[in-house]
Amino acid sequence: MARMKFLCDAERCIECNGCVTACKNEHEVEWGINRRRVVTINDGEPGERSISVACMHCSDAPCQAVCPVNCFYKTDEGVVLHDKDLCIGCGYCFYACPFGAPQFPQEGAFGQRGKMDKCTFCAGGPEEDASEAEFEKYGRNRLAEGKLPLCAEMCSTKALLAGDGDVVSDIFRNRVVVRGKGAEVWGWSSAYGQPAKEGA
Amino acid sequence: MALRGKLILSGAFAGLILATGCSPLEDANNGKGYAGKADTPAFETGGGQYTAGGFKAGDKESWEETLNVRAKAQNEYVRTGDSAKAQ
Repeated sequence: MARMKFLCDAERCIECNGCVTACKNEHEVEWGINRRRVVTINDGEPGERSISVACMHCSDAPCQAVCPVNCFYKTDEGVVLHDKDLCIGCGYCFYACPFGAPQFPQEGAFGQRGKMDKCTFCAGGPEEDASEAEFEKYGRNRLAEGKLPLCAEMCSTKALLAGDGDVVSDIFRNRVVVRGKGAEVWGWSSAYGQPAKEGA
Repeated sequence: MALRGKLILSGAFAGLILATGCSPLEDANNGKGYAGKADTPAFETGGGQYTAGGFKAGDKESWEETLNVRAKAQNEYVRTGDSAKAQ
């Protein structure tokens, strides 16, 4: 299998926040934590664009590189996950992430941070699959159920796509050919690098 | 004499604190990468009571096929049967 990837088509996102709501509900994410959010650029002006942002599960994940306790790992499908039992809530991953994906619950006084929480690509975490412990710490494990992330699967305009990188890029390519514009994919080069050029 | 001893002790203590605080963070797993609990691959357990797609637990190929079918279903040209646009 190739790598699991997210793709957000800014030409289609209508800023409905359905993806945000779906994620919060599916994983019962606590108040104050946003694993996914919609960002609008040039809001209210002609040509405004919205994009749905979460952890992009980068090829060379900077959060994994800077973690002082090595609590990050990558699954065979390229999903970047972390062990909450190991996380010390230092916040290094937040500073390293180009997408602002890591979230920290404010558990105590004086801005004390709790353990980091982020999008899991609906793949749970290092607990027994479909167990109570996994749900409590990481949310539902939809990948183990043979499903894709809910944010993408229920996106009404199919602006947000998730799945095998080859399949997702094929769908997007098809779409761009049909509409004849909007070939730019926000965040892909930051998350997955530039595609290798032939003969290079 | 007692004062001098206290000064030496407090100086040594401050030095120890500084040395500990300023030393680089140690790699929690001696440079071996991930230090947490092992995770089971997503295809192994079968997903529990909400499993979709009919793949068998432990069968990686059928699991991947299930996910690919769902991924391709995100193409609305395929969903609507618009073969002129679906490529």
